[in-house]
Amino acid sequence: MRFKYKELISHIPNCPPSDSQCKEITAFRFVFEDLNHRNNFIPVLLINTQRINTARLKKDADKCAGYALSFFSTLENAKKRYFELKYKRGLKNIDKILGTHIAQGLIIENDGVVSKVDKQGHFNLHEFEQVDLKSQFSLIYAIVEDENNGNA
Amino acid sequence: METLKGFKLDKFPLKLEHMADLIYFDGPLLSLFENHFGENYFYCWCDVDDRYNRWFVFRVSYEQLRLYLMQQISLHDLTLNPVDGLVYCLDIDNDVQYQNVYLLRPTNLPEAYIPSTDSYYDLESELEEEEKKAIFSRVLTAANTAIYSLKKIM
Repeated sequence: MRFKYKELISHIPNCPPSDSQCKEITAFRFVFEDLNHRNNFIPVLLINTQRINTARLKKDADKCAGYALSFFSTLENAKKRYFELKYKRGLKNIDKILGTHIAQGLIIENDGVVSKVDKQGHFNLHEFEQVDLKSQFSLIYAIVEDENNGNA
Repeated sequence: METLKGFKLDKFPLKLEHMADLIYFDGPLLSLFENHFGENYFYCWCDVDDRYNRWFVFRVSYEQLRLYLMQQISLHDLTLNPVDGLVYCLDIDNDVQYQNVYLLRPTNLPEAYIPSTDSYYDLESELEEEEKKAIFSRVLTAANTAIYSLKKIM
């Protein structure tokens, strides 16, 4: 199968990483409430206003990851990372880039290749062409609402 | 984006080189840079709109960097007490061009940009083993250089 951003990743060595695999996995992703929001299922390097740093992206692995979509393996892992960034690291505006909600969906073998899940429960998906994850995901958690209720 | 209360500059006056990303999720959020004297600067992401990502930049001493890495000082305290007493605020566009460069007192930063009071770092969750070694080595080298210089004049 052909990757969705093949022309952008084909010149990056070992991209997607060789230990990535096609598999079925339940996934959780930060999104904006409007599931049609332009940034919801776009890799970070293709988002209009890129939060890039040229030095960092000289590393092939980081550049490669920039054309993948970020997910977490559990809702708890996703919430933990969000609140960690916003409160423990102090990045008060983080919802402006990550989104305000968490969506859950099932990634299947035909969607692309999935990287290993890291110690924070995070993994990347390099999508195959024609895949539209928006239709496979639904909102399950309103982060901002929960914060306002004092549950952060 | 928030309106900034500060002095607008024609261009960013510093030449800094990227050293490490201390906080990263789908791109850097807090990065360590250095100037040609080896002095440390933090780039802290703080805002975004359709055209720019906004960062504030300030100098941190090696001692401040060490204390931050050891969870003994927060990003909040570092932001409000930069070595030079001032912070730069930059809007960086998609072509990595610096626009709208401001110099301001840290207390004039919009409230939403000042990290929360308990914004302590956590090396274990933010850095991989290799990154940890590299940054420790940087801090250690600076400390050893300072000790060596002092010994020479004693």
